[in-house]
Amino acid sequence: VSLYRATVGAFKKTIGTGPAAGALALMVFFGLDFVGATLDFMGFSDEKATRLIVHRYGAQIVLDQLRILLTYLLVGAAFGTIGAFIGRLHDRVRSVVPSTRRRVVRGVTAAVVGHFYFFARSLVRTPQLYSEAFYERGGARKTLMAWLTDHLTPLKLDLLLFALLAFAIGRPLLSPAGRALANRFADRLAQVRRRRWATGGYLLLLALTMADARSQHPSRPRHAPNILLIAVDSLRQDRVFDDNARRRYPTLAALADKSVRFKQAHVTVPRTFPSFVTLLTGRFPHHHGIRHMFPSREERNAIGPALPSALSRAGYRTAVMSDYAGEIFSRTPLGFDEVDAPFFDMRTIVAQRGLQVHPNVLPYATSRFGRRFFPAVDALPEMSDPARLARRASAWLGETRQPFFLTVFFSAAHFPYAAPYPYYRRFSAPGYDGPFRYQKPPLSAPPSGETDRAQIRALYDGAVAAVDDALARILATLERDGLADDTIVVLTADHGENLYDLPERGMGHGDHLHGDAADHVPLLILDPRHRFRPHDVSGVTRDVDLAPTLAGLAGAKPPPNDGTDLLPLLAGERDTLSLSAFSETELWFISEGPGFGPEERLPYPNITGVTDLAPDDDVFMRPEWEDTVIVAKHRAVRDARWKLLYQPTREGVRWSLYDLKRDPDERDDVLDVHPDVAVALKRELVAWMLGDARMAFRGGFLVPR
Amino acid sequence: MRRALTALLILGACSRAPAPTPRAAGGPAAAAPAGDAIVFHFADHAGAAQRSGPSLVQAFGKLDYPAKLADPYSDAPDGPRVVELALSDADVSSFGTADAHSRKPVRFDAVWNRTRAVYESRRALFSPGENRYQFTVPATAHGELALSLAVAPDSGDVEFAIAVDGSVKLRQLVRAKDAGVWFPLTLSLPPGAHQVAFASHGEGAGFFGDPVLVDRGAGAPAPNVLFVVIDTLRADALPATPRLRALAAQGAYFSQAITAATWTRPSVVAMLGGDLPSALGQSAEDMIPKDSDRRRFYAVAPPLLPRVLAKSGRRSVAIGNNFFLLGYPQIGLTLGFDEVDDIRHPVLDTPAITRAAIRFMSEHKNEPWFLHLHYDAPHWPYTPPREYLERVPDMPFPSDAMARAYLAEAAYADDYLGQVIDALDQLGLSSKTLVIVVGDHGEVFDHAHAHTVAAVRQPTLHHHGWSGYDELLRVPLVVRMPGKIEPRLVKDQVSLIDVEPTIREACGIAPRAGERGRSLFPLMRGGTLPARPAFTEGQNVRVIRAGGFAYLRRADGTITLGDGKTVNRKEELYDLLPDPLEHNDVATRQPIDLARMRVLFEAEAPMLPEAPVALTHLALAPDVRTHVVTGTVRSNGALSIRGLAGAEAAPLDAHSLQVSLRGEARLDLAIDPSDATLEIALAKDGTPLPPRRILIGQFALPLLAVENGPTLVIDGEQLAWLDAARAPAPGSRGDVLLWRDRQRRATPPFVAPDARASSEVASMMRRWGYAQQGGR
Repeated sequence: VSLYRATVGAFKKTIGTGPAAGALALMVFFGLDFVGATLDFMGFSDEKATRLIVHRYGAQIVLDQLRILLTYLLVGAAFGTIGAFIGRLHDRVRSVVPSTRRRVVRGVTAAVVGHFYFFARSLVRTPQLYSEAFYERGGARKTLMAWLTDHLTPLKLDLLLFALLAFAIGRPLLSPAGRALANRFADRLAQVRRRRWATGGYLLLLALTMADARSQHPSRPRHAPNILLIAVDSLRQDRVFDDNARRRYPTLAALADKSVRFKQAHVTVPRTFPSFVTLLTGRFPHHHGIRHMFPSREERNAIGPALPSALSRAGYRTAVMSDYAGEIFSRTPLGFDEVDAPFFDMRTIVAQRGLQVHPNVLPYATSRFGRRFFPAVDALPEMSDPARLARRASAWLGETRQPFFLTVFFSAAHFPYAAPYPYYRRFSAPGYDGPFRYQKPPLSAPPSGETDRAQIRALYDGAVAAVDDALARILATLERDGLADDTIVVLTADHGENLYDLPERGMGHGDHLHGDAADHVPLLILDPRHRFRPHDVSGVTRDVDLAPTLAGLAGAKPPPNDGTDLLPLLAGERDTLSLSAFSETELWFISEGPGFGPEERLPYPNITGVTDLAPDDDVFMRPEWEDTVIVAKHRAVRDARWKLLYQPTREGVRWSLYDLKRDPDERDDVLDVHPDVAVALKRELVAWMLGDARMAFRGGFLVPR
Repeated sequence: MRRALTALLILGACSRAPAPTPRAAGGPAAAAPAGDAIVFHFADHAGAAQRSGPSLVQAFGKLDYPAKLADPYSDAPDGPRVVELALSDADVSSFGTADAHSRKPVRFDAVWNRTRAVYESRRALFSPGENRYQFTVPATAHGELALSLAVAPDSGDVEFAIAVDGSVKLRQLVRAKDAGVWFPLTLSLPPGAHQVAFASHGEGAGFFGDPVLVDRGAGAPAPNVLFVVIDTLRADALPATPRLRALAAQGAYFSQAITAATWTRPSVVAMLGGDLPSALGQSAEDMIPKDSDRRRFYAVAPPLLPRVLAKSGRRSVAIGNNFFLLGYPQIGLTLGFDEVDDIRHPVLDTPAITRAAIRFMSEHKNEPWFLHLHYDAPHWPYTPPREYLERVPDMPFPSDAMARAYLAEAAYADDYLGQVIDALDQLGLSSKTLVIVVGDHGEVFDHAHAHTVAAVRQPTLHHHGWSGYDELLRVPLVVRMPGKIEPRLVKDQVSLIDVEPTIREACGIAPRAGERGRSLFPLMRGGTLPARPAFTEGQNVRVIRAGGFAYLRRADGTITLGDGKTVNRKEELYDLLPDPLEHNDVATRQPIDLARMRVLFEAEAPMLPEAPVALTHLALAPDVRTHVVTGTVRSNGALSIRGLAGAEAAPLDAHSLQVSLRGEARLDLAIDPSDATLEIALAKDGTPLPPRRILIGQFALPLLAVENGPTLVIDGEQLAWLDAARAPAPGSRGDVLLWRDRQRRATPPFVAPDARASSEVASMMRRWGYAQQGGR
């Protein structure tokens, strides 16, 4: 009996305190999160894949869930502590001893209020993280989320919390007993502060000494220019070059005004991984070996020399920083001395899914502090905040030595076009409540009408605007740190984006080569050393040309490459080098879509069917599908006037020719009208395709030898 | 962590590399000097080399020269990169002497040189026209390339070039008039070289013969293997072979060694494979194996000693009079030697083999090797040099003139064997060379065993191959390796299938999993092995010998006895203890022993492994609505149904099928031979399906070039287009797909035996006494 009493007493004492109550309150959310949650893998609810994941990552899943539970408990305890503290203030002022029930209520209330504040703030700032669990489910959840994002802003929420706290703390303090308490507290605080100042002063002195030591470091003679390569994922050239884009993106417009503007720059593969490797090596994909998003570790290690390693050898400090789409840099050796990019493998995917089941933990997991414990958050598309990347880049610029080659790669404009508040709603039509209110997930149902399509473009434009503001911050840092006069700034994109320019061409990039929305990219080069006259270049240039050009500007030996140094164009000596741009499609994730319907492509299984998991959790393409994926690619060649397209299908090869001058949208096939042009271009394209030594033409198709 | 480990390993390797210091070769007591290491057989890595050049399949097909074969042991995606090329040299009398390479090229002579020539065969990289192979090789400190160059007869000038790490180190022009000769050469590599390219320029077809990379002074002395077969040498011929007796006294002599087959090809295959011929994929039945049997052998045979020992860093060379060791004649099989010198002369072969062997051993003194010699002297015809007739002692042998001539041949071979052993000893290689001398089978001299076998229409007397008496089965077996093997007489019954595991053990190579042979080392150390029956295969006959009994079974029991009487005798049983000469068949008198031996026979008889068949698949992909595809599949080869799913198929005859596929369906067919033409006429949902709508191969592509008739015909080069490393993606549109599994090993494009090659085989067989009528 006495044992029972002791237990109950201990329980009352414990539960009666705020932290425990708060922790328990948030634990309820942990359980609630599971209601209605689904597990899928990269957008697919594949039973086999799910089974495999549970089998293989069971332990990780349990550990992740425990970590999430612990987060709930700690955060709840923290809220409960604050509640208990405020409650104690009330009790002290009123000189009462609270009942256990009262204490519990206070802890729970604090937890609920605190959680609501953080949850709502996170939801308003990055609604994309929550739309799957709320908005997309419809019903009350949708209404609630829409109401919150419509009526609240981070600032409003901050004010609300401030008011609440001021009320909760201020009210007791305003009573006479409270004032006495406050005075006593202020006295004690003053003592502490004096001690604190002493410590702070010492630290400051130390920091200054160290800073001094650093500035005395012999700096190398500044012969070589710095290079800052800004790459914006999915940035269409018209968002830089079009007149009506200038109003929306003032920084890009101002940069363009000072730069040499390449109006016909094209990429070879309109997908991030192969495109970036092509850009940095200056070699075509069949020469550097990265043909799709899932090369094996061996293939990634066999890429060979690239611009960063060439510059590194020339004495450069080379670095790359990026958010989610830049995960390629963390798993691919391209010669960067420093890589600040999220990591990505199957474990990351599993961890992300584990987190997304718990929308209530996301406010904490995605906080600056929480990311340390949930590193998978950095690889979430919804977390690509350009401002944050700009802060990191600015900090790096502030402490680097010269010369440097810094690549900053913004992912925000990549689908799902998930820019944070306020950008995601900057260009939206007011009152839009369709499925794409916050983002456009790549595998969601296609937009049903022009309203939806306009909204998706608005999301994209908002994301570009977020990048534009972030870019302003980086360029300001260059000016502030006195680097601007020594730093070549290059702005380009790994690929463009189809944004329903023609509805049948859909959205995205790399799935087809119809139109130039995906392969035509902006390219600006601002070289304060050579002071090239800002002007437009109308000749065709390619991504492979950038590595030799930049190496040339830096005075370094370029990596072995397939490109051409663009110096004559930069210097304005010529307007064109009469280059032809080649392009190919990438991996099809799904079996069909706009521009790659069943009649327009050679079929192969969807992504879960063609990829596999290495023992080290690396996702890679099954070797047996490699050849099929390469055989099935569409390919194209273009010069200033014409574009020829090769599409292998089960009915044969479709060749089509477009007159870009008369038909810039590439709607009318003129192969029959200009057979001579087609023959000449076909020869050029075939020679390029056979540059892949493994391949040969057989029965009109490009197939492995 | 892993990276650190790798770095350590690399560091370790680097610090080891310059280690070999030349040690003075002192007296016989001095430690063996560091040998040369053979670090890379280029032909074994040809499939992985980067190649650019014309179509190998076409070039090989166009090569108008009969003594060539695509190497069946190598697999390359684009055709025969490695080939066996035999070039002829008529001058047997000077073969193996120092001036041998100043000789003139000899054409493939239709009349006389096919039985009196030397055929130098090399595993070679085939390099037609403007062709180039590039290899990544392991780094060496004192690397040297060793190879020989040749141009195929009647092709044209070839300029050969060898580049190391991108710079050309050697250019050699071989003119068309010099075609048909192997030109040996060596080339030193700079330390650490890692890339070697072999290129040819010009009109002709060039060959890089047996290229290897040797690291001079980098090898631990590995044991050599000298494996000598004396054809048709009976165990009781030993009194006529003093040198063999002397050798036996220095090593282990097995007095009860039983051959695995009663004629040469299966016997040698069994000795090199460690199992009975049938278990290795080649039965002892047919002198001329069917093309399908040949394909099966290459597809199912485990790696034989020549390749196993080559992989372990040895040169693997055969010198002898054994036509069976070459793959291009219809009666031979390529067994994987890097080089084969086939010396065809009824008398002069023996000295030529000996000269060439001694020359090889002295030229490759410091390299590990596997040298196989095949002396043919005792084989029919018995035509010994006169002086050996006088040396034949009196023996418990039927002492007729034939037997004396045979024994004189044995003495002749023995004399030259002695020269080889002497040379080995003089070169100081004895202690690190495992010498094995063996007869591949015996010969019938006992008139009591004389009869004519109806199945092969051949007499047994003075023959072998189609009977199975002890005088055929028992052969001498001598194993010598001073210091490792004590002199010993072993009386246990052993089989020649034990030769391969014994050689493996001597070379420190693990036994092959599942092989029937077992190492003889326990017996040679004085220990024991569990007694085991010895099984022997022959044409129409198989024998099991166990527990003092020999049980013989004929497939066709019809034999004609000496008195002209034809009987049907399927089985014979001999009780060897009272009747060692096998004169009294006890099959009817000792039924219990017969029953026991029958059971044992059944238990031990090997099964021919099933030949792997590359199945051809015809499939109908799913669609939202159900389709029905019907029609016929024809081939000029044999069609057989191997699997049906949602499909029905009815054979119309051996070459055609009526098929019907419904919904998501698939039909699996075996087509023999695999290069048979395929004709398909289908209708989908009642309407004829245009041939272009039948999608072929791994990528399910239409054959755009086909005529727009009702039938899809796939033959010639297009057949290769069917090959798929995996099933094509079906899609979901009801497409009709046709593809063929890619074979484990690329089927070597066997050349249809032309008239020249067949007459060569016929004359060779006549000379060997296999005077078979055609058509069996």
